Amino acid sequence: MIQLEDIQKSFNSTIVLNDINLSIHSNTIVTIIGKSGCGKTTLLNIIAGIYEPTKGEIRIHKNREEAVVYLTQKPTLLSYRTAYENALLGVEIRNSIDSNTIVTRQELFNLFGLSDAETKYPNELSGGMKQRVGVIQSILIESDIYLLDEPFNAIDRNTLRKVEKKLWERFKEKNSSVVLVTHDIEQAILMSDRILMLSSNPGNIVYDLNFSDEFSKLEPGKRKDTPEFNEYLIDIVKKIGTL
Amino acid sequence: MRIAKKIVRYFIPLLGLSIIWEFCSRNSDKINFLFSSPIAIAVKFWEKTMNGELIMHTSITGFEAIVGLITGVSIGSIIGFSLLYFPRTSNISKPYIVALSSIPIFGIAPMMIIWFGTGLSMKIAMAFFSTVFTAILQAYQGGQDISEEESIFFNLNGATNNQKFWKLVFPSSMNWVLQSLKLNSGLAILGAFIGEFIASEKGLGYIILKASGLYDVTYVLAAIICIILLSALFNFLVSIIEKNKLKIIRKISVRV
Repeated sequence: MIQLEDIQKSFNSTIVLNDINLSIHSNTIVTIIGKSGCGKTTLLNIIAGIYEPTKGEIRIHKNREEAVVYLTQKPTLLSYRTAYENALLGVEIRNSIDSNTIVTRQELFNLFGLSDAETKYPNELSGGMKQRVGVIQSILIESDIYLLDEPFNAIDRNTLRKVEKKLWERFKEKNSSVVLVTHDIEQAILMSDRILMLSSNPGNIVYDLNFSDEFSKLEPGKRKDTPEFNEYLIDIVKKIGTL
Repeated sequence: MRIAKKIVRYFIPLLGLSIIWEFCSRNSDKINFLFSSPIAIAVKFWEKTMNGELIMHTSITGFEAIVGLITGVSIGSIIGFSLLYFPRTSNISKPYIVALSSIPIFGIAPMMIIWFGTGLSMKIAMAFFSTVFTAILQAYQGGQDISEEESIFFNLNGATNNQKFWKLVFPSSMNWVLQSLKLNSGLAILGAFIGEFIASEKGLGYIILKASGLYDVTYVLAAIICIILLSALFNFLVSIIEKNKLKIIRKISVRV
């Protein structure tokens, strides 16, 4: 569980985030949306511990290094490791590789269309392939909290749906707390249980939308055909227009 | 065919220059005395190589330089990498290292005789001191050059200093260490050479000093060819390591 109380973050004299109060429980996928530069990444950096908040307090139920997995916009793929080895980098550092990890990695490589790219180095991979390897690298790590900062923006549409579905299933199976940052409203509705909208200058939570239990239980692929999907979409688009 | 063309292209300027040089030497005693002639140098080089003299002296200089280079770059790189983990010490010591690296090696040569005598160890020490400071700076700079995102990734995953060094810092700094090896190979030969020049009875420095004393420009130039060949050999060895860089890095850092 993550709890943020009265979080404020300033850079020099500019307040980037102000008065952020937020609790994220286990088995919850929260998506943060907002205009560019509104402080979404800064918020993730604060949760990850990269930035200290200027004011306020952040509580995580466990040791942060153990509990948090952070997938940044540009995944960390080391130039001297193949896609296969880069996918295992996180678990390798955490000394948690077992036979299960290897099997899961293989399944994910096949599912994400990367089976031919296993032995390729990062400079031989496209932007979308790198992001898919980054996603695999993150979800191979068994953890309670996942922070995902626009991890899918270079992935093509067809593969994206598979990636979303697999991630959603894995997070639900492990009861994870997930904070996803995205610009894609449709993706936010398909993946989340809750959507938070940040205002700009300074970033503040101006809208907190909790989906109904029935809707939250639906996997991403089945959500789009429901009437709620359109209702939520219209609601969010209207709210974004007022920002 | 392409390689043959390349060789011809590289040798044409040398051949042209040698013909002009030879022509001038044959037509002027003064030029012949001051610069010798390419054919005379080639003959001397052949003679002295065949009787083993140049081979023996070149191997001695090469041995001193390579031992000095390996110890200088290894110890320098260890110190440079260690400084990364002690930021305060590195901030204080950096200007001193830069200052020490700018001392001309010729200046400390007499001191080396006092410390190490006139034997082989003095020449190795000269090669060592010629290389160690550059190696410290290169390794330190290489270690600082790692990407911030990659460093954050390791920190967020709770990497130990040991893991971070072998999986990230060392592989990412490999280019800097190789660059240091390349830069220092010439400096190591120079260091050993100066050591021999100051006090020695063996090595190319000794040969050149002795031949200069006898106004034997031909032998001086034949010995200089040996220094050039030695330098080319060192560069070739470094280029082999460079070609196998990825293999070396992977052997050290990848454990899956």
